[in-house]
Amino acid sequence: MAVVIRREGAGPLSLRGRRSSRSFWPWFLQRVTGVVLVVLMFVHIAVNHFGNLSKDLTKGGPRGGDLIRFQDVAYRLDHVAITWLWWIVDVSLLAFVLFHGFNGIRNIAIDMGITGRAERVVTGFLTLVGLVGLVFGVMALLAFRKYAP
Amino acid sequence: MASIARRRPPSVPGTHFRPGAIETGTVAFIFHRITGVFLTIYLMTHLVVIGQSVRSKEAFNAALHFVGQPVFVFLDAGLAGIVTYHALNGLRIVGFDLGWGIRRQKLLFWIAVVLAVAVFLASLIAAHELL
Repeated sequence: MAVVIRREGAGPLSLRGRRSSRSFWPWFLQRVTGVVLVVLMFVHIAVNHFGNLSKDLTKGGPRGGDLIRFQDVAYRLDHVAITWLWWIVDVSLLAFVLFHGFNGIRNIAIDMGITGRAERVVTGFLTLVGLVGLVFGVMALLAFRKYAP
Repeated sequence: MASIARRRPPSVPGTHFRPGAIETGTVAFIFHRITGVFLTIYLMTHLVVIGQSVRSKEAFNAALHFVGQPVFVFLDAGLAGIVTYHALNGLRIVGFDLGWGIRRQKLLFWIAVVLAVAVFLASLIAAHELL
């Protein structure tokens, strides 16, 4: 069985540098977003999932047994003095996680051997889906200001 | 360290090359990929759930009430464990990229696994009222 091994950057001189330099930024940003996400995810999970555990969570109580309600998120995003900080945290989390996740999917596609034009199509598609996710996510965050309780 | 009796010696002396063996690092890679795909799919469901805020305050509260049921609280604890493994193994990888920790790579993997299980159990305990 003949095995063709294509080296990154191999090819005619005019294409050599261009092909391998396309992969630097996704590789680098995957790590940067990953490291930042470790911090942002910790904050996000702590504030949202664990933040209200000290309150009264009985079913008949003031919160109706719910851990998270609209008002809790709206408080962070609309009413508290440092709301601008929460906005930076939440929008950064959204953008970084969408990049990191979809770039990860792209890496899997590349590992499966997608190259050339197909790779550009896959990258373009994932970029598009990521941008749609970003727009939708920001709209969801803005809704906490729009529907003030 | 695994016992000498269970591990075959490297095929090529002076290297780590053991064809056919499933190395610790390979398992770490596989788990990292599986947890990554899972988290990406989870992310999309999360955006749909939280995105109910776009509809109305009541729609959001109803959606959050739905995922406040005990089965989802349990799954959320599992999610916390999965995020912990992916994050810690990811940091392990970044360490390698910076040249740090390669000699301790197996230990770092096991630390990631142990902490992931610990976070899962701690999340269950923290949320025990909701279960």
